Amino acid sequence: MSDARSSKRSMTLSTHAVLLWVLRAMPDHAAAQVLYEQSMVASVTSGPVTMVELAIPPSCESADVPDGPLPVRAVALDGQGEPVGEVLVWVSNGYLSTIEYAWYTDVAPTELPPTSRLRQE
Amino acid sequence: MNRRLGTAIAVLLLAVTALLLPAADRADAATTSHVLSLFRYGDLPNNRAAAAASPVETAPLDGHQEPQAGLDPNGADRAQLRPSDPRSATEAGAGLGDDALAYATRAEKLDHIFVPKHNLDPLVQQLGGREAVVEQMLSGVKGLTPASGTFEIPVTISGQTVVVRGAVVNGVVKLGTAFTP
Repeated sequence: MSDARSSKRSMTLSTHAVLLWVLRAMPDHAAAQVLYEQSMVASVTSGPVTMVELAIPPSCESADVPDGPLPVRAVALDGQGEPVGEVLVWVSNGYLSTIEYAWYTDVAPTELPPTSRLRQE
Repeated sequence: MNRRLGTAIAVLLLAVTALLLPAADRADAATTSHVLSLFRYGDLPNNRAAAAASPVETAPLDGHQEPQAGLDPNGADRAQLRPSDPRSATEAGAGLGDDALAYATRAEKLDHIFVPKHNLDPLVQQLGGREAVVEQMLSGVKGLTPASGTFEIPVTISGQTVVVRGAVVNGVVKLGTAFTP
């Protein structure tokens, strides 16, 4: 859930695409549907691309999922098919809370990977 | 028998040539003779070098085994000396040395791993610092990582289970993230 006083900005299309990619891979489709509806009204409150903090309006329905990262491992690959990072979507109290991008590269990424480079493991 | 006779004639011709050649050329002739004798016994120097450089266990070369008719001894030897596979040559858990620690203790990596959301603060307090926790993570995944590719390994640190995720890239273990479930 969000703090209404914090500064918010819209989620970029690329960020939303990555989030939807992860939600589509969830084994629990009912929970994924609830989180999808949250994502449509989500906003970004803070954080670099490696830790994007989200805010969800309190009027949204909460999802029946445990706190922590969703059970989807989205590994980002480079052009040669080597892993360069992975995306984790965190949930807190049934609400989307964070999109984390953990990297394996020497330099921290400045943008999320395109969904075409994501692979579920 | 014919092969031995041919070899004997070749060596005789080389010896005669060496006597007739100027001194400067005798060394080359001697070298040629030496190489011929090695070829005869299937123990060429380049085979020795290849065998020494290859970590793959090779079939022992019989120094006194005559090459079989119709087979190129060099070719046969090369077939036994398979090139090493860097993936299989990398032991599980390799790359957990200074490179892995240096990578995991970069400031931006530490800042990423130790966000409050990951709930690692109690371990930091207990062990005295973020670097100490990272060292325990690396120690915990030792021997459990793949030769290459991603991994997710639960590690118990001071009684607390920590999920450690990362990848082995070019033989180096690179921590991506870690959190308490």
